[in-house]
Amino acid sequence: MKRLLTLFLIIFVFGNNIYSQTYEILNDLGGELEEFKSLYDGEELFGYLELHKLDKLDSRKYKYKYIVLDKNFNKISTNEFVISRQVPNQRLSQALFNKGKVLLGFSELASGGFYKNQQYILIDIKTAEVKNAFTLQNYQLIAVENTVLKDNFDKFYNEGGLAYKAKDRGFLLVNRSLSGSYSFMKNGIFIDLEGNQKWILPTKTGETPEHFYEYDFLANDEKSIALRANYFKKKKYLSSKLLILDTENGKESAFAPMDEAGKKLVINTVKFIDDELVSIGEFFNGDQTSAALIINKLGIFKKSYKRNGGSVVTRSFVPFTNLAAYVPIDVNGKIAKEGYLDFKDFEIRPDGTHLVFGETFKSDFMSGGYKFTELFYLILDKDFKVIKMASNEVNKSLYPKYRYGQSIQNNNGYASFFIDPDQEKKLVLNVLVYNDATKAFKLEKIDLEKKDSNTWFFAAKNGYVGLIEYFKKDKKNPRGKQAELHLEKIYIE
Amino acid sequence: MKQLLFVCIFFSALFRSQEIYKPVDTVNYAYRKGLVARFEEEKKAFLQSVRSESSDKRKAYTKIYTNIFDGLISNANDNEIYAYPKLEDYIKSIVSEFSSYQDKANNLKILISRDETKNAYMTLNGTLIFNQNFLTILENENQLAAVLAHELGHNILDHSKTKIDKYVQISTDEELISEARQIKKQKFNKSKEAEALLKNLVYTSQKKRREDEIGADKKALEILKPTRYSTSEISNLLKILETSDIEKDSLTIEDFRKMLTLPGETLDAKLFSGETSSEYTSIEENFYKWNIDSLKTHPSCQERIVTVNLLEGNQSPVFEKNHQRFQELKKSAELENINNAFALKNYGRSLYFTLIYLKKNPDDIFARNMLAENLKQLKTARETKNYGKYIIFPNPKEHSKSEQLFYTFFDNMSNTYLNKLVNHFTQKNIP
Repeated sequence: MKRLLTLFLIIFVFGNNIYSQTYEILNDLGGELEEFKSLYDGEELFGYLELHKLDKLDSRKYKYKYIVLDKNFNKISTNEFVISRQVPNQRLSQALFNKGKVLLGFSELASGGFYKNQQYILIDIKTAEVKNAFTLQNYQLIAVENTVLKDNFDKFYNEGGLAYKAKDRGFLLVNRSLSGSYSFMKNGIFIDLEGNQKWILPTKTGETPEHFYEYDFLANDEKSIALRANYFKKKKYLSSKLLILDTENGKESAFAPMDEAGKKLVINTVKFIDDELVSIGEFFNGDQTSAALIINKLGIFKKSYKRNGGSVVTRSFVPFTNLAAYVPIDVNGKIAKEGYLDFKDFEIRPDGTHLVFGETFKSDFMSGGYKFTELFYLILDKDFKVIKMASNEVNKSLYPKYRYGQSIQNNNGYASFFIDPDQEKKLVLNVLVYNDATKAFKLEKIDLEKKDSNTWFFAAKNGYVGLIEYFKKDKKNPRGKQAELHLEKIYIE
Repeated sequence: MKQLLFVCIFFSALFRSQEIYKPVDTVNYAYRKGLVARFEEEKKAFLQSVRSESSDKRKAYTKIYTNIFDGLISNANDNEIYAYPKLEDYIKSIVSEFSSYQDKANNLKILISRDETKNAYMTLNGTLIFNQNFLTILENENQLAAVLAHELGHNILDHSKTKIDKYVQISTDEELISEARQIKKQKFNKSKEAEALLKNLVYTSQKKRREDEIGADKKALEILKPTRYSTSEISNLLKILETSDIEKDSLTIEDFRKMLTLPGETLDAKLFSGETSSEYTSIEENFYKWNIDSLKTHPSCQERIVTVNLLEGNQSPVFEKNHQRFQELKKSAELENINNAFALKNYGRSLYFTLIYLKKNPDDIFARNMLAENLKQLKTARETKNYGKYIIFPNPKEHSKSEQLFYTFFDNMSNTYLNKLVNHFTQKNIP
């Protein structure tokens, strides 16, 4: 706890000992804290990554320092590394933890507002060894120093990209295709945890420069990686299929239709559970190419596919009209007086119970924006039948209330976090705690605005919420505490 | 007659065993107000004293003096420094023995702190701040005299003032500022150049601090030599300090079970197991990967013992001017520390100290009351989501096994059991 962020340490520990004129240099020395990202191991928080920009070595090279903190803020790995850049605006776009390794993805903002020149750094947490920067170019994994620029004017060597994690196996690196949609990825190469190329994402039979697939990520586990293959004809999106690949060798275990006739499917939560890929989300009026407009909403669905073959195992649909027993709701999810119901989080508990969290909003004439009016939760049984729908007593706000959800106490419950102004318009963090054993919710409140301090929160390790309390200046205590960080456990009972 | 005497002794012992410890007054507003006013006055005087300095030096002095005095004002307002006349007077009476530096000794101002760290230190304004909990590890008055002589040594050698003067000198040094500006202007490798410059400054500063400690040890020996106190207790004190961080009254699972199992309940083994230890070890690297040893501000106790032993001391036996008072203060130090942690709102620490005390003295009424009071505060903290301020995450690098067990147990404890504990101990205790 005392460690907080290294940034704080520099200020507090050295701040009092160091000579004032050199203090500014010291800040430069410690490097600018460029990013602070959470690292996840599956659905569990593993720890945090701090990235400091240390030095500009020449016009094309930056020196960085990374620090990996475990979930209790203990520093467990740190080292420096150098990466090159083509254009000045470079940023850390991704930080993925996978079995003792951290993959950092850097991208550069090129003219036109697109992120290009995606490159990666692979860190071994235990040894603090940093593998030299590498990237994908022309369907090949190559060292960044060996890349070829498109031309001196554009100064880019790839169209940007993304990395997807395959738990305990490696990473699938994919690039954006210049000839494609510019939204999804292709040209994938799978690397193991040592950074060695294992297999490539193959071109499907029949693909041409005009008819092709591009991919986006759905889910992964130790065995498989699931992608949505989006089919395009001359940059026009036509349909989607489910592609499941074996993480060991890239072999296809499923390539099956995903689309629904007469409906657009928007997946919110998707994960492998045993031999199935389970997806939950919302249906919209239209087809897969239609825009997902709120006025076209139809209800929530659950669809499961076989890991091998991709055949549909279950397909359940709860139209909004099924919720009419609980609230005055129309066919498109508009609740009388409250506005449209917008789903925020879908959770599947270990016993198969489904939890769905949503909030309502409507246009606000006074602000010209939206007013967020009510929070709802649904409990559905393992067959996706609604058992309960209820609302929380909240006050209206001009900002969305829902923040995040997290399993708690060794996965014996689930906590959903939302903010809400109280009667005095002071902000309160509400924790809606679901107990698997009793299948009931209870609400806990944390005051964020107090007389002598303001508090902000963040998603900490499972079962805890991180709270940073900033103390207001007090004449009586001119050198009193400035900020205090603590993690609060969410108790089920 | 013998029987009567026996009966008297028996009842006297019984009466004494029922005595409840009364901690030092915790809300002495008048004392606090006076202390803050004194610090404000001293701050003003120090700021006044640098008015004739050049503008940049004055700024640097003002900054550091303000920083120091504001810290002291905060400590007074936070109730960290408190009135403990019995201990203050006792310390003064020991210091009055230091005949070779009579004036300095007589002018020394003594303040007592609730800080649990076993430490004492001199501040800029010639005030010695003595942490009450330091008494728990001292074996006799002579060792306390050695502590006081060491701190007086810092005062005589004017270490605080010299350190500040050095700070001001460096921070206003034209050459250094110019060098720093040059680095700032550099387009590339700015950080590398700055590191080299800063490293030199920091190493020099920390080396000076270590030299100051050795200097104060030597001065302590010089102070004690002509007194009735034995100089040999300086080495013994340093030996104690060397191991003072190692906990001697550790709590075990059995202790927790014995003290905190409620009638009809059992404490599951799961309550004592925390997160499985990480396969990654936490590292102790300072941000710049500099040589940690060179950054230490204090030399090791072993190094200090060697230095002190080389000097010629007196041959006096261990001396105590007021053995009874020392024993009295030492005896109450642990209970006072429990109360101090509570007064500073460190309820987790206060509860921990309470449990350690109750392990040795299970029937102590004050400690039992403190157990109930701390549990009540923790219950409230859970309700207001402040529990994590007091029951923190166990860290093998920072906490003893006993502390780790304590934090794990109280983190795992359910709300229901915590409530039951509060009810049980509140009802059981005598108001």
